[in-house]
Formats: sequence, C-alpha cells, structure tokens
Amino acid sequence: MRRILPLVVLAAGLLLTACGPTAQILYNWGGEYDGVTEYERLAYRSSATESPESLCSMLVMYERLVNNPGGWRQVPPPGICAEYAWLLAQPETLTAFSQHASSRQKESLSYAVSSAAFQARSRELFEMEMRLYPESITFIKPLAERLFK
Amino acid sequence: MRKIVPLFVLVVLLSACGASSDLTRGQLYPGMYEEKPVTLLVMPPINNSANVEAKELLYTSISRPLAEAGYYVIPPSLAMAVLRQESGYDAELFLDKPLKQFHEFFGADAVVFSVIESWAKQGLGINTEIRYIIKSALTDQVLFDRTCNLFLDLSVNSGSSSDSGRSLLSILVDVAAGAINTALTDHIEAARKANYYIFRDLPVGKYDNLFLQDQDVSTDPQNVTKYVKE
Repeated sequence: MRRILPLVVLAAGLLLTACGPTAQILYNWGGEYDGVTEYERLAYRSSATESPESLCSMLVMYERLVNNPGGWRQVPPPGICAEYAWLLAQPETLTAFSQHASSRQKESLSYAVSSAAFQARSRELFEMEMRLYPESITFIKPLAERLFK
Repeated sequence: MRKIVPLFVLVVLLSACGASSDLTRGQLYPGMYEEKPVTLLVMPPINNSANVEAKELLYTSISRPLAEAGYYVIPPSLAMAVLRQESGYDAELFLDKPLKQFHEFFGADAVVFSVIESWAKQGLGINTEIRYIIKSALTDQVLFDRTCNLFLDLSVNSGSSSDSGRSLLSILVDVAAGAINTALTDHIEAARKANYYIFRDLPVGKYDNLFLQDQDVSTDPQNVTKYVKE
C-alpha cells in the first residue's frame, strides 16, 4: 500500500493538470446570488422594471466594482468603467440619486453628489476604460467627446 | 501488481478528462487563431422563439462569458443604445451583410450574433436552443459557429429514496414544487447554462494567459445537446 500511495498522489496531480486549461476567473463581477451576478442583476434590468431606486443601487454597484477589482487580472471587467461613466454623464442620474439614494448609498460614493463631481468622475472613468483597454478608444473616445462637448 | 498500478493511473486519467470528441479548438475554429480578434461587439439576439422576453434576457447574459474568455467586449448597454439610435437593433439585417461598418464605428474585430430558435417552458423545465455565430468584422469570415440544445430540468425531489416507496402525496408535492420552481426561476439561468456549453470551447482572447496556446485543447462537437438538472 505504501508503494501505491505515491502513484495515487501522482495520478491526482496529473488529473488536475492534464484536463486542459484550468478555469480561472479573470474579473470580479460583484459576487453571485442564485447563479446571477450583482452586475447582471442590476445593470441589465429591462427598462420596464427600472426605477430611481434601482438606478441608485446600480451606481453604488459600479462604484464597488471599480474600486474592488478582483479575479486573476485585478482590474475592473471590460466595459464597466465606460458604462459607469456614461451613467454618471446622464443628467437624470444625478436627479434620481439626489432624491432617492439612502444616506448609506450617498456615503459609499468616493465623490460628492453634485453635477460637477458626477461630470469629473465620469471623465475619469472614461479615461480609465481607455487606459485599461486601449482597444476601446475607437468607440469610447468619440462617445466621451460628444457627451462633454 | 506493478503492471496493474500504471494501468489504473492511465485509465483514471483518460476517463476523468472526459475528452468528448477528437476535435481540437485549432481544428474547429482555425479562423479565431488566424484573425486573433481582440474586441467583440455583441449584437442584440435574433429571436425566432415565441418568448418575447427572450431577446433581452439572453442579451444580458452574453458579455460576461466572453469577457471571462479574455476578450474586450464593447459595453453592451452603450452598444445597445447606439444600435437602437442607428437602426441596428434588428441583427438579422446584418447577419449576411458586410460588417466593416462595425469595425469602423465600434473598433470591433468580430461581431457576435445569437439566434434563439427555442426558449420555452416544457414540462417541469426550460428548453432552449441557441446558436452563436462569431463573424469577422474585417473579412466577414465565420470564425465560430455553435448551437446548444439544452433542457434545464427544474423538477424538485422531495427526498424520498425511490418512486416505488413514495406516497401519492409525496409525488404530488414534487410535481407542484417543480411547477412553482419553473414559474419562479429566471429563464436567464437556462441561457447562462447554454452559454457555458457554447463558449467553454471558444479559443481564449488576449486577456487570458493561454492566448494562442490553446489550439490543442479538445472540444465538444460543433453542436451540443445537454440535459442539465438544476
């Protein structure tokens, strides 16, 4: 039995490495609940179910994803910074957040709830998307320029 | 004994790896390795099913597996907003057309089309048939094409060991619970599972550390049929 044990350990080791690429999570998507990530649950509600409250939750979720990157790459997932930036640049986002966010939600942001702060954070996030993902420049740069012209 | 042990190790290795076909990623999807797309644009799904919500439900679930496979995916909510403005919401209009405009406007190297052939409750589960086609935005070549026919079994087992030993009440409880489960379960779960079987053999993109090193990984056949118990 003692002779067999190393072989069994070897077999187990081979099993772990020989079955093709091992799955690695590249990014943090906000954790899963019931098989659905926080990002999927909040960011892609159909427009019919969107509410000022869900918009507030979405903003907080994006802030968390940007500030707490995870996975193997340790950067926000592709598109997250740009989606967040775009949301902040919409005037109705500020209105909804000012009126409907809880004090806890307001405290969770790293910037003030004001038009100037939302615009500044939005620009910063568009820049971050293009820095992290240079291939995004073709689409994101003109989009950001149109928003802030 | 000495001869038996290595044989045992070999058998365990071969059976556990579950190689389901003789094909590799390099053989099945050579275009992905030739063109090396980095940026993907996901088009709104083409919905041939009777489920009117299927289009939006599926769209919500596509970008994450592609990003996790190492690709840059054009932010779906922004892409959707632009495509709506530019009358690009109906992806079927572009499936057989030149895609260069998507490269110029979005910087996309390839465009991801999805076709929902079926997405419906069936008994105590959900049946989906989804096809994904990834086409080059530079050459219009089909780089990836796979269909998954998946049945997600949502029936609930109340814990009795065998049907023969179960009371009628126990069986009725299971049937009722299964029906409720089907009604409450978000159909997106079925889409996520179909996506998993479709994209798990997709050659990885530049943000995965196996980029251009996975040609020899064995794959499922091009089209897959799966029965999945939740």
